[in-house]
Amino acid sequence: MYKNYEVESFEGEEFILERLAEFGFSRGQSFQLVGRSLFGQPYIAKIGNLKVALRAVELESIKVKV
Amino acid sequence: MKKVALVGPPNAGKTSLFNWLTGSNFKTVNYPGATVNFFRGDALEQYGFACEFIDTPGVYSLFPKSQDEEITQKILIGENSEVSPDQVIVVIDATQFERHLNIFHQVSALNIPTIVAVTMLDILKESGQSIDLNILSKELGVPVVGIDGLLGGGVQELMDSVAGRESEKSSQIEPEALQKWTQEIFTEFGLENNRLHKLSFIDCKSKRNWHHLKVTDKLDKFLLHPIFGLVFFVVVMSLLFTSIYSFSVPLMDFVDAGFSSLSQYILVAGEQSLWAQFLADGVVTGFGAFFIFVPQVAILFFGLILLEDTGYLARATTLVDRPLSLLGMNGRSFVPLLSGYACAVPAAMAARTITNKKERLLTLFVLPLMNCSARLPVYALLLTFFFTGKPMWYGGVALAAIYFLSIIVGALAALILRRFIKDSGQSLFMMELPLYRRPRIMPVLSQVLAKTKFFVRKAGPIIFALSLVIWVTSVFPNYEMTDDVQRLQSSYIAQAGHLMEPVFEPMGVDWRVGVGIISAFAAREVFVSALALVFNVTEENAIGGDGSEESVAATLLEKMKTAKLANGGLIFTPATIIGLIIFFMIALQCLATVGVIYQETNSVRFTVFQLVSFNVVAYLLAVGVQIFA
Repeated sequence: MYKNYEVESFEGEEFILERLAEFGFSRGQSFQLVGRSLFGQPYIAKIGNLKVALRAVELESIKVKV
Repeated sequence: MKKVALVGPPNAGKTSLFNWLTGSNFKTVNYPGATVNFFRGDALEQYGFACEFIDTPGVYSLFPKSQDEEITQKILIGENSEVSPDQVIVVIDATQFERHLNIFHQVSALNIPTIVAVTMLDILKESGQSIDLNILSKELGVPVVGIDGLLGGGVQELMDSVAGRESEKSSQIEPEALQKWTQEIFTEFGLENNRLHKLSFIDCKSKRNWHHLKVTDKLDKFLLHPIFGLVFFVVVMSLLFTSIYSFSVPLMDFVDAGFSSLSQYILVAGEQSLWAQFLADGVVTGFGAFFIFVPQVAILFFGLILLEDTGYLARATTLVDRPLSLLGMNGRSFVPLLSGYACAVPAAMAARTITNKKERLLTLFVLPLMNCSARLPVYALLLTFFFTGKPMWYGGVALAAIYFLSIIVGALAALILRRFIKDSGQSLFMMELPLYRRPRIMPVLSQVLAKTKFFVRKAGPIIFALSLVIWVTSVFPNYEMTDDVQRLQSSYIAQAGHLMEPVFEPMGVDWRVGVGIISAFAAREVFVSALALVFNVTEENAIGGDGSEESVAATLLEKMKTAKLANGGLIFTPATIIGLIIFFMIALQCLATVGVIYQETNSVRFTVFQLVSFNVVAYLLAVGVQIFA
């Protein structure tokens, strides 16, 4: 099973944050990291039924609850 | 006629629905004043209501981040009256209900009469859930119709809704409708969507397995695996390449035979008059030189659309994002680069999905270095000459090496150029990986047809016009001469070859090969036929006398062996052959590609720099081989 992460806040370029929001990443939303591609990235995140490939810089824009 | 725009996120089943609504009665068009294309088509008569549908590029919101998305926004706000919709159908994937509803809210703010089409209900059903469309319709205040993308269920109901819906849209778009959504607005609508989900979703007690989701998870473990995924990727791409080059052979032969027969018929019927020659050797052969590659381009489109429809293309793009980003490009550069191996013209158009300008320019710059299929006949001739008397596989290995070398050269070019193109903001990859699905063959074929037609309309005229120019310059001024070889040797193109001989000499070749190189600017493969003509090889005097392509090629190879420069030295030495291969590998000769790259970049500077730098580097390398060999 994969670890659940809960979105706490966002920090980064505006257009990355916009696209994250369009993909359903919002405060309090949980997601899982289910894989990594060739050479370590993009990361594969699962949010609800949706799978999204995200580069490290895009993923780093999401601050999660520890 | 009423115009209805289909709007929705990528992979929501929008194009499949468009296909049900219009059949194959649609065409690819450019947005006025822009290079982005989309589909337009009339509704099938069987639905009993005439209207025009516009299949807009997929969007995640109405706040664009790429050229494609910008066009959807422009269409919706009615920037251009020609494509301003009277109604909008928002296509929502039931399995992504809450997320996709955001587009409905954004479209609603534009005050355009809207209908919601919900797709993928069959996949949702696997999880034991369904949607009460009546409740949803009541809550949203617009008609909501369920669509079966596989069998076309619900399409008539949708058309009835389109026919019955008022088309009176407000001429005034509230400014706040175009203001970007903040996190707070997303959260606010998130709560609303959650409420709608709870109200309209029906959960059956006996939940079944969500087959598609489970299959997708299982397949992704393998297909996105850093090693197994890469192996599978190489296998899929090899299959695609093999298909492009092998399945197209009978079709290309058919096209070739068709145009040759027509050309022969015209010559005989026109008693070899100048007009008959113009029609046969100029017009028909010019069309033939272009149409012979259409099967390869169509097979490439078929492969790419099929892979996209299954959901694999997004995975392939993800797999190569990191290697390509190290070169300054993006995973999204992969499809254009791959397409470049068939033809750079549609490949350049495919680069529009790349949001970052620098990554897009780098992709467009590197594209012509991917060995398009027009180079194959040239390589075939030169390698056959080079490996005469050697086992066949020598040539095969050398051809593979040329392809590999072109990737290395492309990577180097990208690495060098990335230093000179200004950064244009942060690069964005973030890509949805849709559920794997069985491809729907009819929508795939319809799209292949539309895209191929668009390619023919776009690239055809340029290649055809150039072919005519080459014909005119190779026939005039002594068009009355009956001996083809003598006529060519005294033609304008030969005069140009003679004039440019000092330029070609350092490459180790004379004016005759120069004529071949100049002719290749119409289409690279013309190099072979031009060479045959200047070396006095015709169907009549070919070895064996049967006039077949093989006998012409064999005769040309024989002539090449003994062809001499004015100083008595051989023209075709190993150094000349290697130099010519390198020249053809790098030189940007295809003027159709140059034209499309100009259209895509809208930059004379970029286009001229690319044209000059590629040709100068190709020339210098060919000369370098001659000097150091």
